[in-house]
Amino acid sequence: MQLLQTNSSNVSFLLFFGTLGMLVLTIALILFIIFHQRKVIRYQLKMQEMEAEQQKLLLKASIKLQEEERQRIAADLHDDAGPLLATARLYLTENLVNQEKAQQLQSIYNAKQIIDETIQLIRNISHSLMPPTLKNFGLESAITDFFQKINGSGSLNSNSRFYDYRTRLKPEKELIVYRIVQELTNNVLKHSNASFIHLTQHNNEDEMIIRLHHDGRGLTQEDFDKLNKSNVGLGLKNIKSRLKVIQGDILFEQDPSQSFFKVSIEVPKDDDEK
Amino acid sequence: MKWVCLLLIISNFSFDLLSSVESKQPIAAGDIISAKNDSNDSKTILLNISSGSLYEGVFIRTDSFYGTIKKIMPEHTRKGQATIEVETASQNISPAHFEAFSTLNILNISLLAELILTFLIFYLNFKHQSKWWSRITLIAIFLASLIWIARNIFVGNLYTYSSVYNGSITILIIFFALVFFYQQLKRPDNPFVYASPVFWIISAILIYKAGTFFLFLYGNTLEQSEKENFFIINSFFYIVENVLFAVAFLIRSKKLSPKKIDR
Repeated sequence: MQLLQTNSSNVSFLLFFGTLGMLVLTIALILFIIFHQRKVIRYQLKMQEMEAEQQKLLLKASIKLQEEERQRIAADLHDDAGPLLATARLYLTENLVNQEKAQQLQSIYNAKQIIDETIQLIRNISHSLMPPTLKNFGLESAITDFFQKINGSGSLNSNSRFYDYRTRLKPEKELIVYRIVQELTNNVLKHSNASFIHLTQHNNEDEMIIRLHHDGRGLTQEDFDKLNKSNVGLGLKNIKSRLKVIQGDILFEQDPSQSFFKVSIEVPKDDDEK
Repeated sequence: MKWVCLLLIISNFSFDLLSSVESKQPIAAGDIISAKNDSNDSKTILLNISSGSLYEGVFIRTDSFYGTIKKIMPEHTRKGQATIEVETASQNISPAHFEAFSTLNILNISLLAELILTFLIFYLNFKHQSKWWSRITLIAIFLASLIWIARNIFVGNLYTYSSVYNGSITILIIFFALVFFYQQLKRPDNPFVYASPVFWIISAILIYKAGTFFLFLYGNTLEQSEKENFFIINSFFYIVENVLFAVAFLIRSKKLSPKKIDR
């Protein structure tokens, strides 16, 4: 009898606390799911905000760079082409008809010389906006040409090698890649104090990879990300926004021996570029 | 999904109603011939059965006593007569007309309906998320139904209650509910899980099943007086389940903007 009562009270005890335990566990689980999801949403919102902020910075950098480019063109036209054309105008005044023939010929010759100089200047400005080699012969020729010019200056040893560029990228994509390479090379020239710069191009099935090696002071991916989030590093932001247009990627690395830096640009290819 | 849930509510409600009607209808009747005191709460009774059949777990009563059949002794059972061991609080049992009552048949049928509809809710939910889990749910419906048929029709009968079978089904339902919640955590496309009716339906099922798990597992071993006290737990969780079902029906399934979240 006593044994039966003990069993019954044990069952009651188990039943009461078991039910209570299950209830607490279930409610805890449901609350955990609700709060965990809220946490995830908050995190996603924060990420979205950060991305929006980054976009804003990139847009600002892009606008600023565009303005600087316009100012440079305006300055070139105003400071160089303007005075040249004004000087040519001076040679070609109404008074020219009253002058002696030899003097007339001399003035016309001088004016022609100045106009030729102006034409060359405008051609240079135009070429800096859109390199003719790039337009006519493609990325490989334009980059090779660009690196030969750097090499010719004698300040550092530079060369480029394209392993497989039989199918050209679309012209607008080529221009973007060219500008990125130009910006990266300019950065190396300005800040790295490198003794060589070497560019290689490889082809994968879905993407083209361009690698830039140099032995100067360089950036790591962490530095690049940090500079992109700050208000400085206009050129780097511009690289990032250009890459965004072509949905490409960039990776800054230092080799394990710490003797040179490497920048890899991944350019995804469209179906007609494969 | 809401329709299956509605069917589940209607089925639960109908079986409750049916159960209260059935509890007034005797499944067997006859006369008590003699009784012997085994202990204070256990008696051995010789019965003459005039109609119906007796099963273990069935409630038996006369004008002066009531109890639950603990055991039917086959060795002492002849045609039209049975010797049974009864768990009762009554002291003196005199020869009288008896009636036996049981609603376990309704409970067993309602459990089959409940398990099919609950698994169907899980299947409809998993169908859009994971083919693997939807197949497992279908297999579970098939196997559980097959075992139910074998246990209640071929091996046993509808008047016996198996806490092992019902406990296993409850564990399976709790497991599927946990799988559902795990998938909700993994899915980033629907961040507001509580804005969807499915969440409330599955929460209702989980709370009811988890809350009554121990009750249905050990309830049979309780004394009659304690059984009545502890079945308040079932009523409480049944109300909670239906309240949560009501929330599921009142909620409009929509994807809220993440900005609406309280930051």
